[in-house]
Amino acid sequence: MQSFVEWVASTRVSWFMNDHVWVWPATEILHFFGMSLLIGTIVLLDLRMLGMAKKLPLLSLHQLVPWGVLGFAINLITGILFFAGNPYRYVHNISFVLKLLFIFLAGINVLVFYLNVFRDTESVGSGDDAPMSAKIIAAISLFLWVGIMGLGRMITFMDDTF
Amino acid sequence: MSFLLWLESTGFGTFVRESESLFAYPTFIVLHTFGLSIVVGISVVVGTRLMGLAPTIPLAPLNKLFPIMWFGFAINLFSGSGLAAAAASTTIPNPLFIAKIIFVLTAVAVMVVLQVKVFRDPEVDDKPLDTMSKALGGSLLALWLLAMISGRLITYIA
Repeated sequence: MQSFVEWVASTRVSWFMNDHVWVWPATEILHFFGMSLLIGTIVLLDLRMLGMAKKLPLLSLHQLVPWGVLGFAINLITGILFFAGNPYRYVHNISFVLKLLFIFLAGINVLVFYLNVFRDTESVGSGDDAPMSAKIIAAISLFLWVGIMGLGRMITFMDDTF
Repeated sequence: MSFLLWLESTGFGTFVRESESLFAYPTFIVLHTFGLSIVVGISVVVGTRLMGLAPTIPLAPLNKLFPIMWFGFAINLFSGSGLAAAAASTTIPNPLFIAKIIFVLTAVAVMVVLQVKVFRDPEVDDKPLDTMSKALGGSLLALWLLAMISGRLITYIA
């Protein structure tokens, strides 16, 4: 781990993140922008599956998922940039480690949704209730994404905790 | 200025700034992020739909999302007040902070107009959207983006 951290800190990307005062705040702004895309689309889909705004046909909302994926891609890239900029800080931060764990769990949740549950939700039209399996996935997703946001924002306050 | 110093010295401002508790400054920052993700996140969906993306999403049921957006905004009004009070004498006169407040208030006005004039209309899905509604949807996105940028930069540019 130590040699990995040292290698990351020696890369040009790492230098770039630290050599210009504007790079870090600009990356943060992009990270918030990606978060808004991701949370807006995914949370809305989750809330609909849990029974909110039932007049919305589930498949019509599902069209927005590519925007959520775009948000995730933006945040994966900007997240890697933060890590590259200060790898030592992140590997010793409990909030960061837990955030990665939550993202991994959210990924498994998405896989379970598309492999087992999605086909049962395609017919959930205006006014229909989503099946219980979809509600459970939605509740887990909401919990994990709220956790990911909270843990991410707490990184600042959790230096040298891991 | 003396008002801002007083604001900083209130129990609320002092607690958010100086308490070692995780429930002070860190919690206010985390709440501000939650509120942002709710109000801006749902605005992304409402705004892009108004601008013509994903036209098969019916507009009328989106009215149900406004209470959630107002909930997110309320979280940020509260958490933002705490963060601003904690550093009132430096934050509130910061041109970036003033710009952010202007962007936020304008975005709130746009949300009110959208809710009352567009989404509460029971026939909203029976006729094509007028240009004004589309423009308001785009403005909402632009205003939140500007508010987010100026808000984030307050930390860096005093």
